[in-house]
Amino acid sequence: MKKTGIWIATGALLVTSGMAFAQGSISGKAILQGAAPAEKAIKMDADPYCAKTHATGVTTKHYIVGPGGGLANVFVYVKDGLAGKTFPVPKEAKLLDQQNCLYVPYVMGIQVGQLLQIQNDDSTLHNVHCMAKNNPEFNLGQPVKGMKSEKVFTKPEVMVQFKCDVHPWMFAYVGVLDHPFYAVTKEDGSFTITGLPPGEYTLEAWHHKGGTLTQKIKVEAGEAKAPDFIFKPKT
Amino acid sequence: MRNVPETVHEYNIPRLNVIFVVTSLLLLGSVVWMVYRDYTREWKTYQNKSQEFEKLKLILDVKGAETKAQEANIDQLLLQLRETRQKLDEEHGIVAQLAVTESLLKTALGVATSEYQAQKSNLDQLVSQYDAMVELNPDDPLLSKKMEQIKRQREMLLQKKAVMDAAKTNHDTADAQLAKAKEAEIDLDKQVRKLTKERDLAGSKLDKLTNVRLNLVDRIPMLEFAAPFTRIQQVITEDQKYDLNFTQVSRMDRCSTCHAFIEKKDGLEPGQQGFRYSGLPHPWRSHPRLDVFLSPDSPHPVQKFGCSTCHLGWDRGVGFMSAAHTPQFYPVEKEYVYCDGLKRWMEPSTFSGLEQNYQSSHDALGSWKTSLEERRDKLAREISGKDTSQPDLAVKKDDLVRVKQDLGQVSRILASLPPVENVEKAKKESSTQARIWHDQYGWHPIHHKEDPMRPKEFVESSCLKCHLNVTWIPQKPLPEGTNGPNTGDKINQAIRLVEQAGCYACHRIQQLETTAKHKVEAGETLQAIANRYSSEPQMILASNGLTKPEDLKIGRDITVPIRVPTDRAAPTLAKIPAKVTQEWMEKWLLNPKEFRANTYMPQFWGLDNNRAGMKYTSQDGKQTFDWADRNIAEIHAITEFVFHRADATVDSPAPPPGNPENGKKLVAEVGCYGCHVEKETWEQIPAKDRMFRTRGPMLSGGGSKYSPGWLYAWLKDPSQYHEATRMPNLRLSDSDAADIASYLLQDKNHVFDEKKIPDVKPGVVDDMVVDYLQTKMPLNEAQEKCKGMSADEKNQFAGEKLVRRYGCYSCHQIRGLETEKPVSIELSDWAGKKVTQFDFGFIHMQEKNHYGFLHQKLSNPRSFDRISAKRPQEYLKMPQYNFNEEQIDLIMTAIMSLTSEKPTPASAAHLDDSQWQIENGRWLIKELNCAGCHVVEGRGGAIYAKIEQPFMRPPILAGVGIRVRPDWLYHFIKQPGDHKYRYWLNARMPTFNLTDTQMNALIRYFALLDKQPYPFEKATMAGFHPSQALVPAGERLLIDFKCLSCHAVVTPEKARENGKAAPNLMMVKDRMRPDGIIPWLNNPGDTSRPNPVTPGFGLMPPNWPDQGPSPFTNVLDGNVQTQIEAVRDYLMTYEGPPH
Ligand SMILES: [Cu+2]
Repeated sequence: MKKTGIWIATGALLVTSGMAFAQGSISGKAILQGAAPAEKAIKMDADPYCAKTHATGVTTKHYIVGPGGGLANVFVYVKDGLAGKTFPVPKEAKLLDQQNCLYVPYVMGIQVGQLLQIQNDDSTLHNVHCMAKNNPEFNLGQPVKGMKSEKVFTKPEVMVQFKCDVHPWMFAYVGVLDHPFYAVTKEDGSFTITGLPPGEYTLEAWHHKGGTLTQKIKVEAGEAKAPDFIFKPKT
Repeated sequence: MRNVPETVHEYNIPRLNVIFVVTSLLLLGSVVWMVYRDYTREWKTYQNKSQEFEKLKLILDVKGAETKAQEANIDQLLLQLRETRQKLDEEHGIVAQLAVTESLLKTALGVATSEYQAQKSNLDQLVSQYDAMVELNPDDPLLSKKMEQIKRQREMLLQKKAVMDAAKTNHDTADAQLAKAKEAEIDLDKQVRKLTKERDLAGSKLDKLTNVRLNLVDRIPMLEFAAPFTRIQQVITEDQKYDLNFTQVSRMDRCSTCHAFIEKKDGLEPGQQGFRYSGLPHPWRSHPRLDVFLSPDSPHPVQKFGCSTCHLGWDRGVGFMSAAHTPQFYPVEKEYVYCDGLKRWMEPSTFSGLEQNYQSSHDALGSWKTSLEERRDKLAREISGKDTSQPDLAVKKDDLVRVKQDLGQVSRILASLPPVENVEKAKKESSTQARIWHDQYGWHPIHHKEDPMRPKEFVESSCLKCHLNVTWIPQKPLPEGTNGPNTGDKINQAIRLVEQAGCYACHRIQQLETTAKHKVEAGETLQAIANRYSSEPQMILASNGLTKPEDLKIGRDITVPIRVPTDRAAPTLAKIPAKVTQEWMEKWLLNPKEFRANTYMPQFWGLDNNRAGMKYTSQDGKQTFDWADRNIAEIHAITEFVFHRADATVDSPAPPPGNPENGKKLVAEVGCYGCHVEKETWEQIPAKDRMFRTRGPMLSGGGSKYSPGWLYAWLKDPSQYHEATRMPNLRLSDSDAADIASYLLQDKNHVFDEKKIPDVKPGVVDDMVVDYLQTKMPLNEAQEKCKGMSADEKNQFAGEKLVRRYGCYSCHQIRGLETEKPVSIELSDWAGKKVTQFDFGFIHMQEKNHYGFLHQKLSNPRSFDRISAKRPQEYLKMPQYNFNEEQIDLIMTAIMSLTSEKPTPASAAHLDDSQWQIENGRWLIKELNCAGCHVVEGRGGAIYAKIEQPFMRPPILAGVGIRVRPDWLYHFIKQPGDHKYRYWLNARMPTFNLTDTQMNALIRYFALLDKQPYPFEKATMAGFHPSQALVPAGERLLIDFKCLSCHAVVTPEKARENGKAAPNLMMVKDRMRPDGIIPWLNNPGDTSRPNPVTPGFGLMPPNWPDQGPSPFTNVLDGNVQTQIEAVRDYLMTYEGPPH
């Protein structure tokens, strides 16, 4: 018991000082090859509150494509290559918000054991229905604006779907991992995963419509450039 | 020596000596051989090895218990105990002193008390003297003196009382101190014992196994008899007997002699490291599903049921062959590896389980050894050269002794443990269980054993022996973290298949019948008897050969059939001309599966004993006919007969034109797929759903089969065609029925349509008629009579004979043959028959047994008489079902469970009154196929796979008895169309034509299942009054929780477009039991348990997550339960959305 304690302490020390271990990072881009399929209009009139917050109309946002085909909302993570290693659980919580009858963010990552806060910023009823398969499924009603619930995942699971049964268009996807090496692509499709120990890894990129793509990558000290993840449009 | 005269003998001494020596040696040799043979008996080698495993397990147990004790801080406790004891020792003088003082005080108290008493009586005496004196002379001068005396005495009395009380207080204090000092010690001692108990238990067992002296002495051949390490283990089951030469003998199962750990639980969490009995190879491996079998807390404890009750085999056998082990019936080729360490073959998965056991033992022991060594060194350092009488050091000294003991054992066991790398696979091969057994145990097929063990695949055949009178053999949910088929799945599917294929219609199977014996009492009507047993009056009369209710005489013993099928196994033929043409039927009979690939209608013609090209000799012996022609003649005659016997029907008018596209949509939506499959996907449906979805025929080839008018009328109201039909009424509108009919008629089977039935040859028909006439008259008379018959008369005559021969009426209703007995042999004791009773005919099998015969019979029933000189009507007639292997396996499982061997009443699964009533409902649920659309008791919901969105699925039926009012349920089942609780569903609750007995059986089932009182005094609204104080708060909460975001009633179309909907709250007061709303609101859609009170698809969010807190603290002080009650009370008055 004491022994492991020391190891963890030493490990933490080394990690925070950032000196003893050479660390690498991976950066890359997700690209959509071809034209994005047309998004569908979301009819929110079932709940007047939601309809009002989107007076100009709202569509699905399956494909958010930046210049050069950069594809946002792709969850990129280290799938293989970290077996046997453990990583401290971040103390800060992650937030899954409900704003104007949409989940924000649409795609996010979290670590096993890390606190997930789920918040309702709307003056309407949402129910947070977590459709986890590997973790316990749960369903929470949040009838009041500002209501906050807290949950923790106990097992890795990529991806966990969240939905709201009151507003059938509301979805969010959460990648649960037992390590911190993941990223969600930005509007331009780029991502960076930092702090990786050198080694050989399998990267997987997940997109809600485009499916998953994998590639192997070798990381040494410094920045490794991952080849682009090229998704084909699917409806 | 020389002086001694040589004695002369008749015999040669040296030779005799040689003989003596030789015979002595032979005798010695045979004794040694005998001892050796006995010492190395098969089971002894297994037991010796099992002790090795036991040691491993025990040392790990010791370690586990030790760790647990350490974690519970046993060192601290031991120190405390020692300190307490020492303190107690030190205080002993004080305590004793207190005790002495207490006893002295007690004596003093006694003295004081008696003095007080004496004083009191003295005083009383004085007082009464005083009174007497006053009475005699009020002015007596002595009175004042007397009064003085009384006063003095009174003071003394008070003093004495004070002394007594003080003594009492002192005594009590001392007593309490004493008890407290002792109590601390007792309590600590108890705690220590609790922590060390587990360890001591495992430790003492381990000591015995590893004791050097015992192992040296008691394992010596011959001496081992005295205190044997190895001995034959047996379980004698009083309740489980078998028939041995006409006497009932208790089973004496010696299986655990070799299967030493058969009932041992691993005691580990899934994934936890450690020694697993389930990871050992046979015979040491533990039994699967110990939560169901063998364990004392399981439903089948080994002490009561033994082993051979289910597995069969020779119960007393302690050798592999003598116990009559039987290998798997299906010879599966698979990989086997050889374990050098155990000298055994095993499957790779078993091998890796073994490796894991060794590995985790090595790891655990190794690390324990290291930690023990560290501890030993540390303790030795700490106490070296110090006075160990101090409590903390004394504890350490004791600890050191134990650590050294443990270390000795761990080292010994580690040394004897085979190194992990030595337990390695030597060979890999592809083999079967039978071949591996042959190599391993010299196994060979046995012919003389009467009840060889069941092959592994058929062990569930034993369930039916005890579990009679139930619709489903009870099942326990799979343990968490496991998946795959569950125990009981196979036998349950097997019984369902036997029912659906209609085996019981031709072969009586008493195990599938439920009856009650009843003596008719005075004043008892037929209806009353029917009600009492949930039976039907007509069935009671029919099964007792009676025609009118008046025939039920008082005192008559009758049989009451219970839980009988609601209809025959196959469609009625009483009105067949309205449905199909004669031509269709002839083509259908020729090869039913060609028309519908999954039909249970078997094939009778064109099989291995009557194929085209096969010949038979005519009755007059002059001609040779081809079976192809005879088959056509038989089919034609049967069709003619069946159509002739049917009711005269008027042609149904053609349906109005329909829209097949909409029809297709409706078929998918209204719920047809709860009972029917479609031809595109029927093969992919999982078995658990298939048994529900094959209750009706596959929806294919309608255009080639049905009369359009008939189909339209049938869809609208099936009961107008056949009153007892299982097809319920879906209340289709004219246009919906027309649309569905047009869709079903669109699908045609072109291969079938183009098939032509060859012409009937008159010569063959005549020969067929003569064949049957000859059973009553000689050949020439028969020929003469045949000549005088018209073509139609011939068909009617031969048709009836053939229908009777093949037993068509067993499954189908045919006018005039409704009460005929089943056409074939009874199967109720088929598995109990001797193999020699089976006619294997022309089939050659290496090993003749029940399973082989049955498999052949089911895969090719006519193969037993391929070539024969029999008359055509003497040929084997069992039809060919064209079952697939999976179905054959299931039917074999069912048939192999049919024996007349009965458990004693004590062990037969007993149903109490309420279980009996529940079974009545369960049977109906099965007959009506409710589980095609609903999940009932965790089973079914077969249609869910066809309805993607959970909110559109028919509800899960659990907790119905708790939540739903019986009166509402009655009306709902009676007239489902009147109720719009889930108004948005496309799937329709059909209207079933149920009798009142059936209705009551169903409602009672739901009530009893949820342990609700029946009849339902408490269940209705009677006695419930919503609290007027709570109603306004309930209304407020309904608004605040925004319940109407989902529960607002919109049009069904709007709800489906929104992609969400929830029940109509205005119906709550009529539908829900007031008590039943509370658990629902507390935990809506709880699916965590197999049969939850509040089932659901998880669509309704818990508004008070995890029982609170309430998000609305300003209502009813935020009290969750009061808020829930308020919502309930409001809903019980709810008339519509608040304004
Ligand atoms: Cu919502």
